[in-house]
Amino acid sequence: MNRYFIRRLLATIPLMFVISIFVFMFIHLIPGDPAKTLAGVEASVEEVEAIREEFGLNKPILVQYVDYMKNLFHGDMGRSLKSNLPVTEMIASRMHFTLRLVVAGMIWAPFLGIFIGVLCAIFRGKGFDHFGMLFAITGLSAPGFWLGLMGIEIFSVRLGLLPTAGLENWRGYILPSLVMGTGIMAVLARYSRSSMLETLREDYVRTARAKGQKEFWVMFSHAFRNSLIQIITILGLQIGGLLSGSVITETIFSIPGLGRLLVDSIAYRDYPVIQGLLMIFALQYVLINLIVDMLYGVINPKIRYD
Amino acid sequence: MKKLVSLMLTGALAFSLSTGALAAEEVKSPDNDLVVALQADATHLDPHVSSNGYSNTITNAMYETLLTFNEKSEVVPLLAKEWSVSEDGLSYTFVLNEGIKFHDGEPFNADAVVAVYQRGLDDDSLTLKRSINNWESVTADSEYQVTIKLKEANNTFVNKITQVRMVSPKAMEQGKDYLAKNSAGTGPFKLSDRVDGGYTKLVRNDDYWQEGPGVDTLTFTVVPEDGSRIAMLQTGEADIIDPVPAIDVARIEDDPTIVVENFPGITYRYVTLNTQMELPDGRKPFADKRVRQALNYAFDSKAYAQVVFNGYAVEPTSIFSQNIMYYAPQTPYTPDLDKAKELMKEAGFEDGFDVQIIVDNTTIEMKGAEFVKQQLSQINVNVELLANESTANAELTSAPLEDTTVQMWYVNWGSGSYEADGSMRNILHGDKFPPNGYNTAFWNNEEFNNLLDDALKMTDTEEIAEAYAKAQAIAWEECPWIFLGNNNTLTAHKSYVTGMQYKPAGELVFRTISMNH
Amino acid sequence: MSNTTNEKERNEFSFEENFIDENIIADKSSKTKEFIKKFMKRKTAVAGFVVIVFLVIIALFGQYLAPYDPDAYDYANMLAAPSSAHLFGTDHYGRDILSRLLAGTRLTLGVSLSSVIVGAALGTVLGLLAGYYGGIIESLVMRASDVLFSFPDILLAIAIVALLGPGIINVFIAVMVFTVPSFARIMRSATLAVKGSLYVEVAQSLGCKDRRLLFVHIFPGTIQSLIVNFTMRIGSAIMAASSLSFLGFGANVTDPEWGAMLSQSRSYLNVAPHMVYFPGLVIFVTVLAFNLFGDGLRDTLDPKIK
Repeated sequence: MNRYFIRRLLATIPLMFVISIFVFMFIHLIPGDPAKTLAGVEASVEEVEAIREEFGLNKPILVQYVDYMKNLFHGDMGRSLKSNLPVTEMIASRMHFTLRLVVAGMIWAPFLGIFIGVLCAIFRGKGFDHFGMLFAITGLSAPGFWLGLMGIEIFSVRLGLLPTAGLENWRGYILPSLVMGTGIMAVLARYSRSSMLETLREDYVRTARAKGQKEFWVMFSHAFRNSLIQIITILGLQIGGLLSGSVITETIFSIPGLGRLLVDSIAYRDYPVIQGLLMIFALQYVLINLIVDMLYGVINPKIRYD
Repeated sequence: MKKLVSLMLTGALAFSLSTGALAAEEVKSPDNDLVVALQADATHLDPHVSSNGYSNTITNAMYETLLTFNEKSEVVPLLAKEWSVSEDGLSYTFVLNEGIKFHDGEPFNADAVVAVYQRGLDDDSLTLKRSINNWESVTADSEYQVTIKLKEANNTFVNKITQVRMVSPKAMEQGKDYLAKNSAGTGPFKLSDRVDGGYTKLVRNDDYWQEGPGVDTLTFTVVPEDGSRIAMLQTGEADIIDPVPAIDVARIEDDPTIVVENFPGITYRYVTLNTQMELPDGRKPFADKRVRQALNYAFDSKAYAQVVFNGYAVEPTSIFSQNIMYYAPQTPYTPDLDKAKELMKEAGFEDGFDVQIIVDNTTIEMKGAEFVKQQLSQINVNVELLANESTANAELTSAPLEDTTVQMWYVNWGSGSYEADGSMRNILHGDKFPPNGYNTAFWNNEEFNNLLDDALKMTDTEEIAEAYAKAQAIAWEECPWIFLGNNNTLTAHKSYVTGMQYKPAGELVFRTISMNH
Repeated sequence: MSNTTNEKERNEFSFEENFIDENIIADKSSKTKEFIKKFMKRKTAVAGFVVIVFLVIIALFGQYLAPYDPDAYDYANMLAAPSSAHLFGTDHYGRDILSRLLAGTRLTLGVSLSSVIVGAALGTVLGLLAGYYGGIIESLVMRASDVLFSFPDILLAIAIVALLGPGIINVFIAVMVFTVPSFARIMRSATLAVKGSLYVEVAQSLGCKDRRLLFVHIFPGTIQSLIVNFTMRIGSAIMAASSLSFLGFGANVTDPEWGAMLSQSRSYLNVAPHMVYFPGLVIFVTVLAFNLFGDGLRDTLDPKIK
């Protein structure tokens, strides 16, 4: 088992390397000149050239890439063209906002989703199944920004119950957590339902039933436990999406997280920051998948890695 | 399904009927901490680096200049208590206020002014550079008197000096990184902490050298979404918001706890017409003055102000805003479709032509360009919108004549130092074809160029005014642009906020700000 | 993401399933009948299907049904509330919202459908090839998917639109690109599963050509998972297009694309709530319909949930 994971871990290195090249080329292809944007419209050609010189933007792209990678191996992700701050520092100072949002979404949504999904599977074809799925899918069908703006309008402005921005106290978390979580709730409800249905027709479940075990025990110990593998896979995918996909929630609720940082950095063509963020998003994604794979073993010790 | 829909309908109905703002009596702030919600963040807190408008709003609370503008577009003393200019217009002498200290304890004196000049000389990448590049020398005559000598006379000097912020020499030595995290100005507020892209928190400078603000802290928070910014003001999470989108004024102006401030802005809006543009059949429609004028006659700027800015805009009466020095009003192009069609016919473009317009992809810009498209369709000019991020557009619009793809550009311009030269040169002078400037009309009028160049060196204000009036008349008649108008600056604050001050176009000044609490 | 365990499990199941399938293929019409019968039992899915049919009709004939010219400006009637003259009210240019929604149906559905179709087709072919041939083709396809997968949908779309510039065609390309890897992955595992089945082995031993094997024997066996994933993707494509509009990377404002309409209308939430309400409702109902339909299809088609 350990060898398998070490191999997987090592395999992420070439993958990250490919991603770094891909990202680097990609962001430099986006039309727009950071030096010009930073200098502002009233700047002269000389001023723009001076800024380009200062950040090494006038060097050939290949040289820029090699420089970047050299620094990266020393743990240096460069400095923001815009704020001049080290990229690591910028990401570190904003990551916690996004993490807080993710936690706010994850604290209820997966549980509610799995709960609904499992019950729907158990009551398959009955009224609860239809209603539960309709409820879940409804959550998946409203654009996040629309939900958020409506939430602000109703709960903050009209009713004065909740703040419109920031994460200063528990009340500030309610609306963002709703926007972050609704989609996950819906996705998990759907997937847990179908994976429950899949496992319910497995031999071991049938056997357990035939053995006369209590229905609740069959459901919980056999069916649910085994469908957890798929559920966790999906959950991993969703967390990966949340970390970087929180940009809409961050925009609406004025939270300076990583998603906003990315959008702002794209607007300024702040290459080192975009590069750093994309690399970190990719890395966390790869790592989450690795963790998910490891969890398989925990849930079902029968699975062996080789 | 049916049930669900009807349920949602009732929900929506209840939602739109529910009550608006609560009635309020005498409102007081619950605390003495002022929060300002801005649309975007400062790019950098070093006042010599930053370039956008929000950087100025924030840094102006910490840094001060020798002279400044007041609300009535007059130059008034700030760190300098008086100033004089020599006969030849080459030497400016400033007498400084005494006993002022920077936030880091260093004294403000003539040497500090020299140090700022030196920093601009040493580092080409600073925006400070463009304010001082016409300076010959800066000499400390005594501890509190300094003389700035120019390379040649320049009527914009006083305007430009209002942009040169004084920073502690010791802090400047430590460089940009230090100034990104510490304030070292003479202003009424000091930097406390900041999350880039999130908020910037300042605390009151208790050692401020003149009558200062009453609030304990001043926090600028970044709220990019318009609706969220308005909501924050309504709920009291923000005490001031900048800007207020024109469409939302109606929503908050009846609220007794909110005051909306409305200033004619300096942001002048126009559409450049590439005079060298060739149609696929080889004809050059915008090379013909009659076509350019026809577009202006076809364009209803009153409707533009109403539709796009909800009435919070001023119709164009010259080629820049009336808040700019040396503005001279011209005869408006009153909308006249018959005349427009007549001119098009004379020029041989009766059947119109297809043309593309470049525009930034923000809601308000695209709305404006869409209005232009609709207006020009009346004279068979078929406009296609090319919307893109401003950074990507800057790439297109700085291409030189031989490579340019710009046909029309929906854009705006405002001189941050309120000068006439700065309002025209970069976008209309014949030397300023891209990439040297943004003259994407590729309009080159010798007489206009000469008037601008001559006026710059004049010292007599009447002569200057006359030259600029002539220049404006030429451009107005020649129509290198479609003149759209300039939108107002709209900000709003809670009624308990007092002591607000403004610069000419409604730029916020926090020097004496207080809150009733 | 590599789902070693899931694939293995799938391989095992498929043996059994394909035996069943082989028997059913004998009587196609009874299979169809059975499918219809089963599908009709899921009322919500049927409702979704009806809505989709209705939308397709509108997409085809909407422009003839529109009471007004969707692009006609009427400055005397800006932001007019719903009335008998304008059922859904007018927008900030006095354009009839109902007419714009009708005219926009073709555009909105067209972009999401075509991007998913093209993305799915590309992904399917790549997945088939990867699964069937293995080796270097498989590595290439799967690593490329890994790279694309390590960026969440919306980020990838933002990056692509930033590169190509906004506009409906580029939204189409962006949605298409992030559709490809998910299909490639699904098709690869499905192909692996079918490849191991008896009838393919038999066909192979009888000297069947690769191409024939792929498209006549393997592809039909994977079509179920394909259809299910396809219908689910449509909903997310519509949502992605509207999120892109919200962030300023969407369709051209002059186009009556629903997402663009909704995103622009948000400034008028208080002044003219109908402007937000109707496009929001239409998007919501459409996405809901596709999701319900997809869920129903999966329930009836997916061999694993019987």
